[in-house]
Amino acid sequence: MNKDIIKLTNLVKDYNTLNKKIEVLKKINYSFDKGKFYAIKGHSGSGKSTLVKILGLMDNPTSGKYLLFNNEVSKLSDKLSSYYRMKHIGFIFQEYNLNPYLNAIENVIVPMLFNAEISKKERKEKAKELLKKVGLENRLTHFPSDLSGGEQQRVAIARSLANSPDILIADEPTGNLDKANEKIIFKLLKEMSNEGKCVIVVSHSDEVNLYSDICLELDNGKLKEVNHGK
Amino acid sequence: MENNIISNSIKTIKRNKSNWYIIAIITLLLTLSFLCITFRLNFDKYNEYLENRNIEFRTFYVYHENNSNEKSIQELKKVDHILEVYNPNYASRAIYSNINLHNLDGSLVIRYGTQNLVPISIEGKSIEDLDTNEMICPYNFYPDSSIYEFNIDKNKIIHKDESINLIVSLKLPIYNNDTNSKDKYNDITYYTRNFKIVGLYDNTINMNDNNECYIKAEDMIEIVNKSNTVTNQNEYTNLLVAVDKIQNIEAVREQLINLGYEVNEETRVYIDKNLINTVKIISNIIIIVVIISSFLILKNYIYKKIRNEKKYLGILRACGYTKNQIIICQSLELLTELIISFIISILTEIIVFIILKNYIFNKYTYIGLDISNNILYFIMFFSIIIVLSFLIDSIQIRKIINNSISYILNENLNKSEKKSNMNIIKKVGLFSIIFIITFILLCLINIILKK
Ligand SMILES: Nc1ncnc2c1ncn2[C@@H]1O[C@H](COP(=O)(O)OP(=O)(O)OP(=O)(O)O)[C@@H](O)[C@H]1O
Ligand SMILES: [Mg+2]
Repeated sequence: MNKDIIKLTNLVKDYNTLNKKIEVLKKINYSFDKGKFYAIKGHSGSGKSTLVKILGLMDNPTSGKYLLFNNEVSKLSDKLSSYYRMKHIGFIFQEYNLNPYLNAIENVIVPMLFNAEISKKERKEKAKELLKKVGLENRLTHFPSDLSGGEQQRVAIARSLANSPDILIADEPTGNLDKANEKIIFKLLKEMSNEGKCVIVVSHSDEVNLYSDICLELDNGKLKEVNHGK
Repeated sequence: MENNIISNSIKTIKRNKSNWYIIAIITLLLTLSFLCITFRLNFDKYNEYLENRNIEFRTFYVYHENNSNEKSIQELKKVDHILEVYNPNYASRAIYSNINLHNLDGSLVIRYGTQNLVPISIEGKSIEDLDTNEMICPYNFYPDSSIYEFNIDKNKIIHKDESINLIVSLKLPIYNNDTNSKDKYNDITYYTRNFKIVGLYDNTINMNDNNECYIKAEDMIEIVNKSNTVTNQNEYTNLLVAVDKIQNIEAVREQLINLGYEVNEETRVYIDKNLINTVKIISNIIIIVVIISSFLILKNYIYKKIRNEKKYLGILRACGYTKNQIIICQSLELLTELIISFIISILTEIIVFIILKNYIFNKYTYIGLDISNNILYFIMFFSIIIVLSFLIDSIQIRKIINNSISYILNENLNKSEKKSNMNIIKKVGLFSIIFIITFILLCLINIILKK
């Protein structure tokens, strides 16, 4: 049986700008397992964001195959790809992008609103539970403006976990945070992978090496595993 | 629908101050348009009522050189659409009356009563059963009032229980025509006669004043003859002709001219059409301006709102919202705001209307100043606003979310995009669409009104 959650075959992504074609990803072949913490590195402009956005079903590859649980998902209808995003993928951005008019609990509930599998009563309980998990049990009704950057990012992580995804993708989640907060966030992500989720993190920070199981480097459009000497 | 989604949009509105500004502005514009519509509808209704209900607007003088009055009356009564023909001497008399109730002495108008001229009684006897020395008065009887008075004291109205069977003593001055003396007015003697109120009619139906009572035609003739007055009974005099409908006046006029009558150009009472048209045009312009500015403000607000929320829309997409779900959520917010504005402005409108009706135009209330029919127009008008804003809103949102999510979330691309604004052609197009819709709306209102 195939335990790979994600399988990429000959994945290519080009951007057509006004005057030329940029080849960002060149025939990437790689599989991601569940329960592992992947760190993706690479110099600026190497295509890390491009790759994880494709993984997060937020962009389509130019060519190649993307199998998610053995389903080809690169050319899905909006309804289906939205469903996959809701059910299976949690995404964490560098910017927290919380709704400033909703408090922590309400922000975490947002992704559950159209999830018929979670009843209305469960939603609030689940949001509280997730916020507790990220260590914000004392900030449940705080608004984003009353939270520190690290706390906001933790709310965003709780939000990404709302629908219990199998895959957690983070694009420079600690880019705006100090070292102390960075540690907290990576620890949290590590916990998630220990719970069986596939965690994929793009980060410039060396701190991530302490937590990741597999370190990947994106260089010249190719993805390869590197030893980080852990 | 999930009430979590609804409550989220209400929370967002409650907590975002800029929403309250826009609600205030929309409320103001809606109230203004509602007031304009109310004014316009009531103005039209008032004119229509006056012309169709008050027979004076359909009554004019005719004169025939060769016919005797008797002959003319016989001849004119046979003409189609003519309700009544009578001598203007007997049409009406303003009389000082003596009523032993609430010290309500005052001026009273008695009118020439025939079946065609008197509205049906809603209380007591009707004109057919009227005997001599009996009269039919308004339901809300108020001697000494006039249509031009603003500060009518409602407490002085004599209501039906008091007025029915009330005996009113009418006192008419008798002038001596033969006297050439200068102190003619010192010689005045009075002719007094008592009338009993036996029937009450609804004077709003034919837009009579509150102090106009009808007596039998024969009584009227007798009173006028007894009390003199002025003219000898000239055999060749003007006659008054009352036509059944305002639309038939022209046809009747032509017919009478063919029969050799001289016909007065104007009806006994008439409205200045030029003035009316000016008021109509001005109020139309105000309505159009208000409606267009409402749309433009709303449109700009929607554009700005969506531009500000662009990134958040991307986040919602990343969380697994479909395009339609996002449109539902975002439109719900707009809809809630509009509905709040609508409710506030309807309430404001009703309050303003009540104040206008009861304190400023209180004398005019019986001529039908009314808001209940207008609610339908407000709802129609409001629905158009809702549909249009929803269209603008969903088109704008769709423009954003039709891009790939990574594109929506890309900060750098968002910045460069702000430069590419709507071009002039599109602006002109939008403006003309709004204008056309407004125009159609106004035509619709007019057509429905004319029915
Ligand atoms: N929508 C787009 N249109 C055109 N080119 C794009 C687009 N998005 C990204 N690119 C280009 O693709 C390349 C890879 O971009 P990407 O954002 O994936 O890099 P990155 O590895 O995430 O860099 P960083 O570490 O700075 O975030 C860059 O050269 C970028 O200019
Ligand atoms: Mg990047």
